Amino acid sequence: MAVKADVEQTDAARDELLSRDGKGEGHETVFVDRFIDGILDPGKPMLGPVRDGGHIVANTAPGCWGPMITPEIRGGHEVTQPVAVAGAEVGDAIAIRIKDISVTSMATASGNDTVLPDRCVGDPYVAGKCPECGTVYPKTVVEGIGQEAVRCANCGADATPFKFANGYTIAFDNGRSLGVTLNQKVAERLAREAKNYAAMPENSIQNSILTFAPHDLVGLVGRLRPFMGQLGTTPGLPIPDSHNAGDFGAFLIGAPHEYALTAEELAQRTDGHMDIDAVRAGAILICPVKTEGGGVYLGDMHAMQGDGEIAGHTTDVSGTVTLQVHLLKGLNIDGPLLFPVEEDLPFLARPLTAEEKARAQSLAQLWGTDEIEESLPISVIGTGPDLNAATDNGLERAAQLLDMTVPEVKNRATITGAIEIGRHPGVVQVTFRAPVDRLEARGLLPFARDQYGS
Amino acid sequence: MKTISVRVNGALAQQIGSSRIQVALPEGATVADLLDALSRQHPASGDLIRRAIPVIQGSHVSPEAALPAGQQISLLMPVAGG
Repeated sequence: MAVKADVEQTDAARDELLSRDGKGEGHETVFVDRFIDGILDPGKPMLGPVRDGGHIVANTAPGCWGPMITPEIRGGHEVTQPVAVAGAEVGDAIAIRIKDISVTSMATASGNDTVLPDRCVGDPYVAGKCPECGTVYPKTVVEGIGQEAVRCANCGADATPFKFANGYTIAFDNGRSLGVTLNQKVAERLAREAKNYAAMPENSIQNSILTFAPHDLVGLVGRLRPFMGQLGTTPGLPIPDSHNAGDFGAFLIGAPHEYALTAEELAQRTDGHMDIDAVRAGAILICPVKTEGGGVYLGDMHAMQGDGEIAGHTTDVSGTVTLQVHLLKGLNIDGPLLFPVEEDLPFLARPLTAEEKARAQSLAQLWGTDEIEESLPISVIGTGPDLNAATDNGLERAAQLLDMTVPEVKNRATITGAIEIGRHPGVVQVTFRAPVDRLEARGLLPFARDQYGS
Repeated sequence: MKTISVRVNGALAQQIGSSRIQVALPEGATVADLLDALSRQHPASGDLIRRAIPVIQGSHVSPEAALPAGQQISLLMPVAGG
């Protein structure tokens, strides 16, 4: 269906949004340097509130390996204490403009994991246990370096639930644009000053993974393209931070530890743990509000990561992040939406150039169609226990959001978009060009125009 | 009898030595029957098999659920990454 954009109406909507930048309750900027214990809990105090249009500036701690070898932390990450957004109520959404992401770590270590026997209650990422004294969530101390350096503070036993199957230590250049993996001698030198090289935030309690000094890959060069593995809103009930997604969250169903959920309860997740490399500076992320205040949190900054994150873990780093937030009343979305930076869009989803529009208009008229559809890109996130389920989830969310059928979404995603793997086993992006009238009806057009123009 | 295709991951795949297993079961067998048969086939992995999460077509299934014809079942060990 051909649609003429109502420029005056769109400008009015944008002006209304921008006008809120200068007023409203809450703090202008909330600075965040505190972290949760691994559990995103809507019942715990939030920082802020930040005003609608205000900013959040955070110093984030590494995710994955550091928290994984710190069983005192009850999730796989160490994300920031959530920040309330003034006026956010269940059923609203929060638009997050990612203004800046900067890596502060000089080095990190990573690799695939091997789970050690008898060191957890069902899930080693959530409920670590000392194999000797049986203390669950044991405090630990670091003694020396290497993969046996993390010791139970109670009895002294080796208490890490994980070791590397294949691991590496990587150091970055001063411009944080390239990294090189290191040999054993250098990895061990870094391990002796792990927290310094990790630029570990002062209030973080995690053991730095640099302590393990892995060195299976040497001389490998990686380009940096940092993004946030975790960025979102607090779930409607307590969920381990690493499991706030439909794939990892599936392991909470019927779990033997205290954070078990039913399948119905898992619907309270907000899918903040996406590991989508397009969640980087310049992108706009829109997140569901499932608890009062929303509770914007972030963490798990990745220095670089390929689609799928097939190793399970990548280069987790400390960093600083600047966000601007906007409140969208009554949007009622189940999971996140993303407006990626244009270069991150699949080729078919990129907005038409003026020249392409002119040629397409001529082509349409040649074939008896008066006008071409005006459309702009959007990426709808889907998650599930596997990629098929994640794709179905994303398609259904897109259909509900834009008042389409799933078959229509499939067609659009096929000829004007793509299904992109975010993270294996179950996070995808359903990306396509959506009609501007549908975006406008949901209050999303100002963000699409900000990203992609007219 | 029917042959059920089973996919396993993580520590369970490491112990069994493969990520894909075929199990012969009578018609009408349930997920619980599959877990019992697997435990007999791989007795050293019985604990992990009982802790794995059964998933068919992206959805969790209970032990009482019948095994649908022609479908693969996954027994997934908890993983979390990112």
